[in-house]
Amino acid sequence: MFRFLLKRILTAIPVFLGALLAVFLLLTYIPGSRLGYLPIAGNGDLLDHLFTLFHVPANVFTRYLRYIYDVITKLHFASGFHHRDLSLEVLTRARLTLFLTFLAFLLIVLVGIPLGTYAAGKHGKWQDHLISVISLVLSSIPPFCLAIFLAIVFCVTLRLLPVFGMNGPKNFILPTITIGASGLARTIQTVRANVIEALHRPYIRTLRSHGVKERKILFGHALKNSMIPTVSIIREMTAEVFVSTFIAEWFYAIPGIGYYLIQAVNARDYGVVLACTAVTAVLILVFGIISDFLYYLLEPELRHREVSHE
Amino acid sequence: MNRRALQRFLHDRAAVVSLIVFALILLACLGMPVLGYSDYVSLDIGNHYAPVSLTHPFSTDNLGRDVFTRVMIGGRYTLGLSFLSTLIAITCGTLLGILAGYCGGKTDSILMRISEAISAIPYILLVIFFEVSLGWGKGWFFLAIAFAQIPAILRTIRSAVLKIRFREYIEAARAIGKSTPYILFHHVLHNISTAILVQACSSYASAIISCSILGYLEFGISFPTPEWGRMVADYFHLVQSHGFLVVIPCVFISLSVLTVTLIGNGLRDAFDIRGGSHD
Repeated sequence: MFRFLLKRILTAIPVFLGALLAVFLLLTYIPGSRLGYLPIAGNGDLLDHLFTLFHVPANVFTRYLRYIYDVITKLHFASGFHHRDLSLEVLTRARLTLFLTFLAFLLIVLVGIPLGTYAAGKHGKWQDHLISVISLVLSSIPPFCLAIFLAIVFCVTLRLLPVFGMNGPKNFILPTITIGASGLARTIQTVRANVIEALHRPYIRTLRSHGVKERKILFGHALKNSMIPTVSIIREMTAEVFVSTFIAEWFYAIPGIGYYLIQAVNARDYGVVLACTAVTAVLILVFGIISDFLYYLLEPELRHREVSHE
Repeated sequence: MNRRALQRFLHDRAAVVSLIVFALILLACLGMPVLGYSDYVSLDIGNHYAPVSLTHPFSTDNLGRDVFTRVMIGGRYTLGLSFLSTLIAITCGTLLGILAGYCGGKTDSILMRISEAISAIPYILLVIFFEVSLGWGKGWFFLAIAFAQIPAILRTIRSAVLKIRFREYIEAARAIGKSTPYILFHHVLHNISTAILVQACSSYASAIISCSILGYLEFGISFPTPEWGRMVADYFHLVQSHGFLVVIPCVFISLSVLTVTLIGNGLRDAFDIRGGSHD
């Protein structure tokens, strides 16, 4: 188990470095970029000594190494514009974004899986049709449209919930729904389809003939056997959930990483863009590792053979 | 096999209705401007929020521009650019997916790592790269959307290829000395073509969402050209007094995505992709 986790984390590191290198190169070679002026020499630490010792010419790769070195050893995010450390700003904002994403995943898992299973249990009845139609509609509304609809209904017409502000748990209800809705819908569809498929298997008939209660068959056996595709669909939607989080932050004026990123993009502040991307990439990769670990726990076969990434 | 699939598709009521609705939206976007609804820029401030009539089916906006025309012209950009990006993404994703699935081994794991890295970068970044280098506000963001979609397509195509990789007919083709490109195009591509079609539908749906999101964040096509997402952002300050200006583009975006998704679902059921017994 620890070997699996270690291996997964070790393979995530080159992916992270590669993603950051790609972003670094992109932002450096954008016409008019100020990222080329990120400080390269300076505080006289190990990396600078090595650079001067081996006469490494100052180019984009040394700047990249320098940046990575600062981030890893000192959690220092250099900014091309402000000449100051962005770490406090970025990490505080990342905490908020992480919290929102966590709430959305909670919604997806705690509502999506039971609802999908319930719909599968009522296959062909009106409850099933209702849940299917709602999930279909939810999955095809872009997050900002959903945010507008929710704001019009709950804030302007019903006056139940606040649109903006950060004063309490009430403020997080609408953003969570906005972020989680499309993932929730897709989870419901996947769980429903897989549980329905599982219910047609012979072992379910055997259980029924033994007089096991329907609810226990549904949630105990059919759902348990359709968890693997569910985990893989949730893993696939991670990047999408982060984009939705950014949109929700922008719409509800939540000071998270997405709001910062969009603001920085509009101001062409590439140092901030780079810092936000680095943090987001780490978050996405960590979510990937967690879901791979869940996958590993659920799939006994995986524990015996080599881990394949499908 | 094809006629049977078509019959099954035609018996799927939701898919057929969506096909008709989507075709109508497309037809309106392409045809309405030709029929005289083509002036989307000229201002007529005295005539703002005009009553609904044949000349202004969706009334006019705060500057007296015809909303119906703006929506129809906007649809050309939203649907057209999403289509372009899907076309590029499907082409590249299919080629890479076949490569990853058929070659396996090192090629496969390197391609999977790269696609993992791509999906860890928010695509908003790629948007600024393409927009700044090729010209801001000209719609180059479709390249970024295409790029961001490649990983998901790659994964789907790869697993479709893996399913048929070790079938007997491929072994047989190799045994009688057919070249690898011949096998890839005549056997592999032919057998995963339905999977590609279904994947294209879902990619197109998510491309429409991405395109309108970028428009909403004002990264997309620049003023005064309408684009559905951009229209939402432009009229957002009027949402309390004249909500219809915001709701109409929202409804069009959602309707397009919904119909494309349903068409994709219908195709999937018709070809029975899940069962995989169509060859």
